[in-house]
Amino acid sequence: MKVSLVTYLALLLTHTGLIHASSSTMLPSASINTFMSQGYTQTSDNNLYGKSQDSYGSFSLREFGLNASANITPSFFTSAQILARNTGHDEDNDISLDYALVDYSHSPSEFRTYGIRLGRIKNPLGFYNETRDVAFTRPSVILPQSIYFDRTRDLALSADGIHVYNNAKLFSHNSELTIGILKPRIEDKSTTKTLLGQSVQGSLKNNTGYVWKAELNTTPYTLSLSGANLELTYNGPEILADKEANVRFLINILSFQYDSEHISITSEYADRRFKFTNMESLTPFKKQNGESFYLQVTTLSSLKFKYFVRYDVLYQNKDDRNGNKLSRLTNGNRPNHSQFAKDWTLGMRWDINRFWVLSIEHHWINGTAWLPFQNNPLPSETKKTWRLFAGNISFRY
Amino acid sequence: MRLTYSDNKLKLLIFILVMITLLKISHATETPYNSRYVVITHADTKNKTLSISELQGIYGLKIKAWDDKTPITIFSTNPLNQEHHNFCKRVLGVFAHQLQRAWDRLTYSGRAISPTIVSSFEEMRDAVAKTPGSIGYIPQNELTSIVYKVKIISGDDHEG
Repeated sequence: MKVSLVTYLALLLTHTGLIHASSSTMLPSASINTFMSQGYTQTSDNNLYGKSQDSYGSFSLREFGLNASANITPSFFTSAQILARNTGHDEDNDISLDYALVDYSHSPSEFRTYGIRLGRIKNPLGFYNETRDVAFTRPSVILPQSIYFDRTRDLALSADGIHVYNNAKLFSHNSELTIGILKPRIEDKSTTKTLLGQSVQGSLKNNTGYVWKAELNTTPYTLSLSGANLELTYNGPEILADKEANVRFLINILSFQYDSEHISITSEYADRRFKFTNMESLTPFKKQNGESFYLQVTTLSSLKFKYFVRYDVLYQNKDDRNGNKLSRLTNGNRPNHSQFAKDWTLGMRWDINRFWVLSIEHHWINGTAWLPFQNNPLPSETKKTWRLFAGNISFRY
Repeated sequence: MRLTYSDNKLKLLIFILVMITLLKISHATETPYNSRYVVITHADTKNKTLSISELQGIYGLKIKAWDDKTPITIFSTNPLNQEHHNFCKRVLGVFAHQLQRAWDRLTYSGRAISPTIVSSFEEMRDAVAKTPGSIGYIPQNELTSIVYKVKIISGDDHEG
């Protein structure tokens, strides 16, 4: 099922019915939330979310979500969310189950809570991964792409598994520690293609992986270290039958935030490591170590208007920052600029009221390292320097 | 009309002008409030005092039940209002944008239920009076005997 405007309207009607049902029963410990957004992208070159190079840009980026949560007892909590997202790709997402979990927690004192979550759980990576598809939780129309890029998003989004967590408070310091064992989601063929090239014939299978996050909040600072370790097995005709081919992936993200009344500074650094075993026929490198960084300053000059400036940089391979090696190995099919992206962004957000948010921003970009293949099937035809104007209107209830 | 990306500079100029205009409008519409806020709960709530740390835990959606295991229902005014910002800053000791970020993150990742938003302090007082286990805040001068005024102990008390 394609996510069309009709689907959105149908879902909107369904949800309003649900809202009425819940508000009439007046359950204090249950709630239903819905959100939807309509994006706009226009680019000088290259395509992002649909044919954004067209004269009038693209309105392909649309998101819809609906979640329900309930406190069954003070210790038992349950919640689920469905999500539909249109990005102008060939393989547009159907409505998918974003998360569905039960959470059992215990608080031995007001200063400590520990517990366990079971089911499909959002991966707690960086500041924004858990709510990356909920437009009004993002600081900008498009999240810093060096870390939150779309190419392998289904691996990052959520996973089926178990999380154990411990939240503790000592004086004015809050700490949160989460460790999870999971089966990553690989529902989208583009994940295999992104990791192993467009002409790949087989597919990747998920094995057990791990995710973790440690966060410390000492007003006005928040510091967090999060990461994931995944192993994916490859099955395809390119591999000799007696060999096991796999990709190991390790990501670590260091996140920092400073908050004052009028300004908020956010910065994250990510280190990504890939190790390919018995996949010489598919990848030019046996190992790849990429890195990402952004620094963002947001002014909170008023209650309803926020402005931000951000510098965001991504290197796909620290041993090939300028992309020369890959370009040479692929005879120019993967141009130099596909290995880096440096993005300056200036933007604003207007909270019209508590239901509607309007955001606009302008990007000046050098490199295409995070540009989705899905919108740009031929890397050799992409442009190195390009500009992007993006807007988004979102609604929540 | 065919609009191409060569209009980039014009678009940027418009963008900046819009930003400046909106900045001016937003500054003009802010009005200062100087009310003192009191934290109120449903009259049956057993906890008669709260430390700042407990209050932060409750509004930060981390403490989900009272000492007697009654689930906590949180009421708030519109997070875009100056009153809410004043309450956050003066009583809770956090900035409203930090609290909003925590609410969003927890509500949309399946970790907590977001507070119920009411449109006035009168509504807040009535809702707290009617809902067992609820908590809210109102200006001192709106306080009546239908709700219980919680004593807030300042500082970080670790007596538990």
